[in-house]
Amino acid sequence: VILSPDSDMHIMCVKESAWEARLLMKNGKSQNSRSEIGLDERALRHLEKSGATTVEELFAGLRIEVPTLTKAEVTDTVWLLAAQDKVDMQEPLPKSFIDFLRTWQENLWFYASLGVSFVTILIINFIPPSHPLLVLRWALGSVFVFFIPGYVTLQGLYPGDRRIDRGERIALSVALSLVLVMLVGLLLNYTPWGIRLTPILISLTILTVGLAAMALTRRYRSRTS
Amino acid sequence: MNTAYNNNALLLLAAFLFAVLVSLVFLRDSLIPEKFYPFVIATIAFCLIFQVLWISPYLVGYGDLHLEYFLFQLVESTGRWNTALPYFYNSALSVTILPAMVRPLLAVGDTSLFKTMYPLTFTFVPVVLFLAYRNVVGSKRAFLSSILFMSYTSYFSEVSFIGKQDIAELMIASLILLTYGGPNIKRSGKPITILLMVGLVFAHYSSLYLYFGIVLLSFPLLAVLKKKSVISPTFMAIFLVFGLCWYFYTAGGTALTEVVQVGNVLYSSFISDFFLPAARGGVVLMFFGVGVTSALVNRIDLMVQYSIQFFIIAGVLTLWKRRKSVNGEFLSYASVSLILVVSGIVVPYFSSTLNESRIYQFALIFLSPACVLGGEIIFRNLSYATSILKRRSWHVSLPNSNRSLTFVSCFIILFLLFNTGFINEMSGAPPISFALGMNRMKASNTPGLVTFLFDIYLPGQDYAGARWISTYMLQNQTVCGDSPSRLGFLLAYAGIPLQWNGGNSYAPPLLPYSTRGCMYLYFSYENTVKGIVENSYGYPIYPISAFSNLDYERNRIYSNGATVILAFEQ
Repeated sequence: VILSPDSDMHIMCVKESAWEARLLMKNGKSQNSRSEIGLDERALRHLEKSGATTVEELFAGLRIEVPTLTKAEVTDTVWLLAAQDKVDMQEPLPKSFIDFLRTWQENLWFYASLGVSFVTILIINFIPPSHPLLVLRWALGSVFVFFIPGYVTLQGLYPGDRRIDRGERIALSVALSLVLVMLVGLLLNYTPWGIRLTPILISLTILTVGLAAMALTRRYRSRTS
Repeated sequence: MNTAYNNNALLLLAAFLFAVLVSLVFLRDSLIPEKFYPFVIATIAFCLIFQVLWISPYLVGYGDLHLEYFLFQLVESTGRWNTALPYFYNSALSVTILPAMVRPLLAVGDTSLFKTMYPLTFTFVPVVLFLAYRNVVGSKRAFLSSILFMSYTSYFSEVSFIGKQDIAELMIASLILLTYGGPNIKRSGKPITILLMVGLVFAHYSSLYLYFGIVLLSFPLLAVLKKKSVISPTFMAIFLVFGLCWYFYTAGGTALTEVVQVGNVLYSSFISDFFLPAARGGVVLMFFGVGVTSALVNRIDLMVQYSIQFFIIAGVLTLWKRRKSVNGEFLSYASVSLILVVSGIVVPYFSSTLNESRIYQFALIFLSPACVLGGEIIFRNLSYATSILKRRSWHVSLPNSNRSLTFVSCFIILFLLFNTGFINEMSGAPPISFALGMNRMKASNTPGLVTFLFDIYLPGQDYAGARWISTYMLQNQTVCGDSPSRLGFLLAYAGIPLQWNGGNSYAPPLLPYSTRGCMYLYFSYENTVKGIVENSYGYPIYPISAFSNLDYERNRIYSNGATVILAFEQ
C-alpha cells in the first residue's frame, strides 16, 4: 500500500495513528550493499539493532544519521515496509485498564458475551413462553448456556486471538460450557434454592461475568507485559 | 418424510448425496475447499442422526434414553438431584442436572429437549474429531476418518439415543483435540484437561472406564516408544480416584458395582467358556458370517466390513513402522483400541456384557485415522506392484497419495451406504435402517424385524396409553408390561419405574400364563397388532396367544384400537 499524495487528510490520519504504533521486525533483513543506502534499508538496520520500537524512536534514531529527515518520510517508509511484510505494526500499548477497555475491536468478545447474556436475561424475564419470539429465547438461550461460559474461559486461558484456531476454540467452548453448567448445577443442588429458573439464571450470569472479567484482566496483563 | 408420507425417496436421495459430497472432496481439490470440511462433516452427521430421531414425535431409543428421561423428570419436578437413588444412570449429571439446568432457560418441552440437545451435541463429535485428526494425519485423511467414524451404524442408530454417552464422547473428542493438538493448544491445556476430565466423570461411567483403560494401557507403550504424554500418569491416577469416589458415593454405588460385576463375569468365564462361540455377542458372530444370509448384498456388505478391519490392522502396523515420526499418543491409543476390539472377539462375554457395537463405536474414535492410513498404504503398494508388473521394471515411482486416498474413500462411501441402509433399500434386501426401512419394518410380520423396530419406536397409541394410565391408575400398584413397554414409555411417559423403590408403583415383567403380582396388564401396539411379546430386548419372544387365557372383555379398562390395558383385583 503506497499512500496516495492526493488524499492528504487520509495520509495525515494514517500517519497520526501509525505514529505511536509499535514496530517489530518480521521478515525483513537489511542488505549490506555498498551502494547508497535508502531510507527503508536504514530503517530496517535500525530495527535490527534496537528490536521492537516505536515509530517515534525510529525517527529519533534515523535523524542522527540523516538530520534533514522529516516525520512524514519515516512514517511513509514504515507503511511501505509493513506493506512489504518486512515489519509488523502493533497497536500502541494501553496506558491503563480503562484505556484497554476502550479498544472495542480487541475486546469485542467481552462486550458481545455480556450483551448476549444481558439480552437473554431480558428475553427470559419479559417474553412469555407462548410468544412467537420464543425462538429468540431458544437461539440466545442456547448460546448463553452452551457456548459463552466455555468461550470466556478460553479467552482467559488463551489470551492471544491467534493462538488457537477458530474451529478449535468453538469446539472447546461447547465442551467446557457443558462442564461448567453441570458444575454450577451441582452447586445449586446443595443451596436452599435448588435447580430452578431464577437461581440458574443468576448463577450462570455471575459465572459468565466473573469468568469474562478474569479473562479480560488476564488479556490486559498479557498485553502490557 | 418416511413416516408422514410413506415415502423414503427423499431419504434415499439424502443418503446418495452424502456419498456425492464425500466423493467431491476427492475428485478435485477446488470443488470443496478445506475450510468447508467441518461443515460437510456436520451436515452429514446431522442428517444421519436426525433422520432416525424424527421417525416419531416421541422419544426414540432403547431403555437407556427412557431411564435418563425419567431421572431428569425427577430432578426437574423436585428441583433437587437425589444422589441416593439406586439407578446407576443417576450418577451421570449429564442426564440429571444438565437437562434440568437447560430446560427452564430455553422453555422447550421435555421430549424436545431430549430429542435435540443430546443429538446436536453428538453431531458435533465428528467435527471435533476432524479438528483433532488433522493434526496427526492431515486434512484429507482427517476428513475421511471423521466420515468413517460416523458411518458406523451404532453412531446414528444406537449411541445417538444415549444422552450421557453423547456428552461423554464430546468430552473425549475434546481431550483428543488437546492431546493430538499443536504446541499452541497444549500451552494452556492443563486447566482445560482438568475441566474436561471432570466433565467426563460427570457424563458417563462406561465411557470413563473405557477412556481411562485406553489411556492407562497406553503409558507402557509410550514408555517403550520413549515419547512423552500430554496427560501424565499422576494426573490420570488422581482422576481415577476422583472418578471411583464419585461412582462410589453417588447412585448407591451402583455404577461401580456394575463394573465390578462385569469384571467378575469376565474373570470367572475366561477359561471355562473360552472356546464357546455363544459366549461372543451377536455382532461378533455376524462378523464371522454366523446369521448372515447368503444374499449377494449381504456378502458384499460383509466383505466391505472385513476390508475396513483389514485397513485398521494395516494402519496400526504402519504407525508402528513409522513410530519415530508419528504422534506418540495417536500410535499408543490406536494400538490399545485395537487390542480392545480384538478382546471383544477373544475374551468370552467381553463383547456381550459390554455391548460389542458400542465398544467398537468407541474404539473407532481412536482407530478411524489408522484405518484411513492403512487403506492408503495398501492401495499405494497395490498400485506400485501393478505398475512394476505392467512395466516389468523396478524403476517405478510410488503413486501419489491422493489417488490412494480416492480408493480408500470409495470403500468408506460403500461402508456408509451399506450402514445407512441405502443399498438394502435399493436392492430390496431386508431393511436395516430405522429411517429408510421404517415402512417395510412396520408392514413386516417377521419377529426379528418387528422387535428391531419396536424396541426403539413408540407409536402414538402407546404414548396415549401411557399418559392415560399415569393419570387414572391407583397409587402404589404394579403395571406389568413387556420389555419395550417397561424399559421404555411406561418409564418415561407414565413415570413407572422398573423396580419397587419405596412405596411407589412399579412395572414387573409381563409373563405368559401368570398375572400374579400384576394389578394392571399393559399390552402395547407391538403386542396386540403384531402379536409379539418381548420379555427381554429380543429374547425370549412370546406370541400373544400365550395370553389367551385372560378374560379381555371383563378386565379391559382401556383400549384405543391398539393399546389395551387390563385391570385385575389383588
